[in-house]
Amino acid sequence: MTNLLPEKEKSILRQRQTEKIIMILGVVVFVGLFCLFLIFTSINIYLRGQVVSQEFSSDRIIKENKSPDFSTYQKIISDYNSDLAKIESFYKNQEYISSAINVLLGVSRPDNLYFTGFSFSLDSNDKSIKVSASGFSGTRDSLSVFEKNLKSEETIKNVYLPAESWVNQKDIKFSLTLEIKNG
Amino acid sequence: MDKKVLIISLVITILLVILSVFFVWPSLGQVEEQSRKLSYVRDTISAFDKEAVEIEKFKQNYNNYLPNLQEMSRMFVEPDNLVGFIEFLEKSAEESEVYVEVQPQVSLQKEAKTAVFGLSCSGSLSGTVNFLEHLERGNYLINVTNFSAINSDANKVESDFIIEVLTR
Repeated sequence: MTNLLPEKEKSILRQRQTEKIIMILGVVVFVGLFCLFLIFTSINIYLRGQVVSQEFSSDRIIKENKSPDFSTYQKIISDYNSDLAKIESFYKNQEYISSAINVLLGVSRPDNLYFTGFSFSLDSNDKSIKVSASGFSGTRDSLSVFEKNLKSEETIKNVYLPAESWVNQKDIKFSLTLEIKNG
Repeated sequence: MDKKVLIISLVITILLVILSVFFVWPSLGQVEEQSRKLSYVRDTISAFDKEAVEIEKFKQNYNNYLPNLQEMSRMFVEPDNLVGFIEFLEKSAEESEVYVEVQPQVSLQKEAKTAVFGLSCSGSLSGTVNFLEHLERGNYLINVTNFSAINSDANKVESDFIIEVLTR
């Protein structure tokens, strides 16, 4: 169909058409959003009602069941649970100095070497036992063999004998430090 | 011509933004908040129901559990009654054939719920180690934090311990 209207009229018609499209789109989106708002509001009102009713029934159930007996047993259980947690944590972190002593005394020593004293202290930071010991060795070779034996023990780390322990060739009063990790 | 279309578009956009920001978005937030509240209340009821069932079971079996629970309680030293613990130390020493002396300074650390004792012991090395094992693996929750020993003669060692025991 041929449009015989003048160009100016055509342009006005096109503009009105565009305005209509924009208005219709705007109204559609507006109505959509408004419906969404109404839906959310009604859900919100429903949920508020549910919360109030559930809170009410929760209070009622708790009141009905909370007899003095209930509270007493609740406290007993809570106390024992707290004790159990302490015991578990204690055993988890416990390091046995008696085992560390047995490890040190279990390392084979040459006949002419013996301890004259030792001290064990627990290092709770790195879960190890720090040991310092003093003793007597008949010869330097015996001390050297003992040092090798200590170093070959898996649970013993950082074996250190100060330079003074190596100065004499015979009748050595030695001291040493080491760490024991029981794993 | 174009200016009119632009103004209409702008007005509609502003209206839509106002509707979204001031009405739709807050109502969505409220829905979320109410859902969370509802879920919390339902969880509380469900947790209480479970707790009630467990407490009822515990109540019915309490007499069966009691000996073990009492045994567990005895693992902790009562800070107001240290005699029982000191007697345990003396008995363990006697069984290990060593002589033990408990230092009079006992430090009670109320926050950490521990009591720290110093012990001096004399006897054979094997007896001392045995005593140490008694302490560490005994009925009380004892941590030996320091142990030092010196040979006083061929068959005797003098030792000092610092022990930490859990209290109530």
